[in-house]
Amino acid sequence: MAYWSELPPELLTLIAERLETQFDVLRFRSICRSWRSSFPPKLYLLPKRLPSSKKTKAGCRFSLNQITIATLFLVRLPPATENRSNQTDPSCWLIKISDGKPLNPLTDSGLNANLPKVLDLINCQVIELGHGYVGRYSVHINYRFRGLYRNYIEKVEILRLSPDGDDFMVVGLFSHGVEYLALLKSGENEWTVLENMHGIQDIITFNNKFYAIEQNGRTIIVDQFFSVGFIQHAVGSPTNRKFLVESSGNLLIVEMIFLENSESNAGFRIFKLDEEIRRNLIFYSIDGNVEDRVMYVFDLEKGISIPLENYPVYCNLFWPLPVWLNSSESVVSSSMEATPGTEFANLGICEDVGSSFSSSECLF
Amino acid sequence: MESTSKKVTLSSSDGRTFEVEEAVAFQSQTIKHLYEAGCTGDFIPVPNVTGDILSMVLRYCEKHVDSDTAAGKESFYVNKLKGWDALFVKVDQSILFDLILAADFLNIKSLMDLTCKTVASMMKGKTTEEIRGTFNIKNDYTPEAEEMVRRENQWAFE
Repeated sequence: MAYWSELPPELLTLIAERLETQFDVLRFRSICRSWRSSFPPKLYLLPKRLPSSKKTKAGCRFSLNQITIATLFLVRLPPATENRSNQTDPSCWLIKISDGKPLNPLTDSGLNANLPKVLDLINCQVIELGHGYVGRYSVHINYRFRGLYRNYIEKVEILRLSPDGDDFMVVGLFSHGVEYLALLKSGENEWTVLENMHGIQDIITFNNKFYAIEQNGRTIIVDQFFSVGFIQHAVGSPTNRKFLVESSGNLLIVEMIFLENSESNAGFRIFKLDEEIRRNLIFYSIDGNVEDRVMYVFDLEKGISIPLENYPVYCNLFWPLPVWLNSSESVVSSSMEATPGTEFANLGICEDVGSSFSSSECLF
Repeated sequence: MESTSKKVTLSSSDGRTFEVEEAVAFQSQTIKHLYEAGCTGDFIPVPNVTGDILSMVLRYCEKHVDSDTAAGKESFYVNKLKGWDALFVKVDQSILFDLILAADFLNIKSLMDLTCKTVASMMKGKTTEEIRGTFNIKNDYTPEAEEMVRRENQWAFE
């Protein structure tokens, strides 16, 4: 018999250090007293102070005023240990939480669903899929006679350079017709702006570096010393929208294909970065012809796309809400009937309406 | 393996002895230091580790003996070794527990990393009760602390 609660605190700490997400650490600390005292709660730190506005060569004055965290969760009930009920609802629910508010993960709009006031997660299986940063920016353009002021919301990426979070780097998008990558290192008071970028479509942190994808398919890599590299090999077509996605330790470029002469028939192509042979960036591409609002699962191992319907568990990730959740009870908690277990697989999920979520790895 | 390479003999807590190559045994910093400090009698004692666990640990060390060489760092071998590691830690949680204690005592960094990562991944997507069940842990919170834990595990949608 192993006595895990009596494992020396320093070894418990070593285990807890390998928990990847804030929620995993929260769970770890919920198990027993010795586990709780061996490790502090994990915080996703935000820069305490953001620098004042920065003027670009083109005469626009940009500022990043606020950064908020949005976290993506997959929630479901555990499989039943005894079959007490005929009601089976194996579905999981995907939700984004930002500032304590639940959001539709695809549209970032608020949920009008009949949600319980309190959702007790102690008896739910919860996977924190990932978190992202949202920046509230503003840009001020000086014309000869009058100024133009505009607020906008864009992605921010943060790279932590030390475990305590004191040392970090921020990448933002200064965007007004032309996109600039704006870099900030902790301790510095001014943004460093990379001006020679063309139509940045997405940014991501991957393997301690920033990656950005341009409209023409060129990938930009910026390391922590602000040294800039490129993957010259352009990916996809310049007319298509591109997203950077991390899944199962791979960096993917997801390209959304719009076909001329057809409104409904769009598709996706996925490219995987091969870090060892950079010039052969394209490992493979998966073509998915996506019908109107049908969701597809991309199987990266087999290189195929499968309709989400083939995965009953993931079928209703967004709507309708699972029966156990869409409750008139004010508190949903331990008395919930549990459901039979289903095998979970590594899945990457994409939707066809223009929104991507940065971490699409489902690992129950 | 060359027949000329030196061997060392290790003795487990239950008195079993294992004769292995120096390079295998020296992946344990503890054994290396004992050896360098002149503990070179008939055998080096490993008092905290049973024979069953020690034989597993030595099997791990044998597999990893080339991992620091240039050839061992090629991605083909790294991936192959990763696969082997994944199977190696597919064991009962009580064995995993003993492996962590052994890796700690013997000071084998990569094994410590592997076993701790495995334990951490075993908690993913589990409810608190499922985790307690997996690791045979009793909920020892006072009612007040329990209430605090419960509140931390809630989302309040106002």
